[in-house]
Amino acid sequence: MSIPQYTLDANRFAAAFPFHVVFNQARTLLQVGEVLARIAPDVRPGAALDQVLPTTGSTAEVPFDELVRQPNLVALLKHPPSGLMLRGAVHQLGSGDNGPYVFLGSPWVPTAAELVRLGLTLSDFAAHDAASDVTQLAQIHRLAQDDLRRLNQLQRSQQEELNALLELSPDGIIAFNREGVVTHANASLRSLLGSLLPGPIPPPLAAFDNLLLAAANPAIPCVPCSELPDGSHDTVELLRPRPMILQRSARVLHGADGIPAGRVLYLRDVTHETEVARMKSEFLTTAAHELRTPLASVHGFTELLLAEEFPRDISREMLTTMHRQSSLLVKLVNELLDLARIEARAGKDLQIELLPLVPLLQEVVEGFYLESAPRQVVLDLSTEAVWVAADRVKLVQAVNNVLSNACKYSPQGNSIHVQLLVREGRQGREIGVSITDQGIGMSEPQLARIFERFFRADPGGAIGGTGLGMTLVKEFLELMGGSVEVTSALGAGTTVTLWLPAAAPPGLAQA
Amino acid sequence: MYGLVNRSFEDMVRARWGSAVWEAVCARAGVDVQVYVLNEPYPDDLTYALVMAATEELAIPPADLLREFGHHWVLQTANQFHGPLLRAGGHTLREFLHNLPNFHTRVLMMLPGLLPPKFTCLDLGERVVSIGYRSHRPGLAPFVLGLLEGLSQLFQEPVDITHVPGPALAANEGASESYLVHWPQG
Repeated sequence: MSIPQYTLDANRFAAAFPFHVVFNQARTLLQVGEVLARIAPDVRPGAALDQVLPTTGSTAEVPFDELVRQPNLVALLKHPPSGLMLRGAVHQLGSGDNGPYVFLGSPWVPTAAELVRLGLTLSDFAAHDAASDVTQLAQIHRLAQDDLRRLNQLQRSQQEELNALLELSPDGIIAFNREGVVTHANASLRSLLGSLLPGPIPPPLAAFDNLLLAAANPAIPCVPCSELPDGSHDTVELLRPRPMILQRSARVLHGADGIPAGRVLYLRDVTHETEVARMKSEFLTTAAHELRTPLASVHGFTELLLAEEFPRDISREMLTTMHRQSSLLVKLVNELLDLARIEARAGKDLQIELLPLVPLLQEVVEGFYLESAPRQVVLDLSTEAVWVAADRVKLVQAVNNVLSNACKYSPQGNSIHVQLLVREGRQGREIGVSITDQGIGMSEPQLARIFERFFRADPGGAIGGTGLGMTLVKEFLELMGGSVEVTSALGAGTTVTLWLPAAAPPGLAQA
Repeated sequence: MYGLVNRSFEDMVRARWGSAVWEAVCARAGVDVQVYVLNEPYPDDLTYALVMAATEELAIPPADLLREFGHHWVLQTANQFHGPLLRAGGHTLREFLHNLPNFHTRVLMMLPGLLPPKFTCLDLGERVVSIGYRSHRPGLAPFVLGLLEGLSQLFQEPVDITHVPGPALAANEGASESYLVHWPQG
């Protein structure tokens, strides 16, 4: 069966192969494609192929005869004046051995800019020729590379941002990957868990769990970190490396496949907060109790007086009790307000001034009067002029509170001694106002609680008081840069010393 | 649509109205994409949501914003990312318009999944060309008008462009919109 032969006429051939050249055995050009002739005018019939379009690259190593014999070899021709590179193959036309030959190819333009430089447009290429598509693909490839660079840059800056956030966090953060290996642990984690962690890098999740569970209070059940549900929070009481209430928050990370890809734990020391919450709750309960006792008394007597007529002397006794209890209520509320103000203002409202201590104490003692327990107060004050920088009202209130306690807690007839002391403290000279009674005194456990709110050395309640006096004394003295010392022995009495930094007398201070 | 379209829209809003406006547009549209990968296809709904959010945020009619986007697409985006290719599309505006159908055919081969619009180009004499446009995406006729105006600026060939809804001529059959491009005498 014979294969039919088809031919293209010259015009159609030229349109189909706009970059072709036909040449004879002497490699003289016989015909040139229209577009090639336009962009390379010296490539024209009659010109020598080797001069206007010499082989180049690896093709230059191949004898031209070889290119003719093997049309599957890639032929690279270059047009030196324009830099145009043609990629194609050489075919023999006709059946004889002497040619003519045709080079069928198209420009090799790796960039669109090169296309423009050569003066080519997309319509210069034959529709079947994908050479210009290679140019576009190369451009798309470059854009994809740019995208990759931008995404990498974005990822890097986000990673830096995230690292900074993690490191600035005062709380411990640790991340584990799918296999439980630590992928990130911030510096705060080490501060938090300290010696609990064996090395510089925290151990994998299973070992981390073991360490935490071993350090936890065994009396309280604790779920391993690896089993905490996504988004859950709980607290663990640790006994090591130091007693601590540790709040744990867990997030499970999910990969693109939806399968858990890791776990992040957020660990926070909430010991202080927990303690504060407990103290607040305890304070409210105690305060309510302390307020209720006198209120119940006032309420009860009022009801009685409203319900019945009593003889005048009994009515008066009732009213006296009501007055005493309501006075206690007023004092209690005032002292609570004082404490609240101290906490809120932290000493910002103190009116600090230079005060001569000797005349101030004389004034306080002279004005001191406790109706229920009148007492002799012995002043043992030096004649030396001692000055302190303090808030007059607060200092007077502190001395009064201590004097009041000394009176209430010592049997009638026993005197109270007020003495001035001087010592060299860490911050310099200090002046002490020492108030000693010969009263019931306190045991060591009682002494340890003397500054607690609502604590009273007389648990039976026979001796009146709010239980806030010594708390206020301590707060006042500390706000003024001083301190309070208490020594006591059961049955032997108590000594309270209020220490304040000594100040230079006004004349010397100015000098 | 390909990421290049969304990226181009983002660039236009940032350049013309500032980054704060762009962030507000994204928030209004409920879109949280930080980087558009240029050759990655994105849902059309995302692009429409961004455009609608921008028209609300800027109080600009959608047609005006899309026309503006057409200018930006040709003069900034296409020029920036495919500048030489754009210039290889033709030496003149008319040549470029005639290459438009081929241009989109080639792009379709290189970006699989792309659903490009269909263009036809018909000479109606020495000074008039009729462009037919058809797309499965509704509402983009003002964008095409902006593109043609942008091309006129790119090739520095002032033309009058008349938008005619529907096919203007038999050769534009199937087109949902037609545009008559007229080179004034002189």
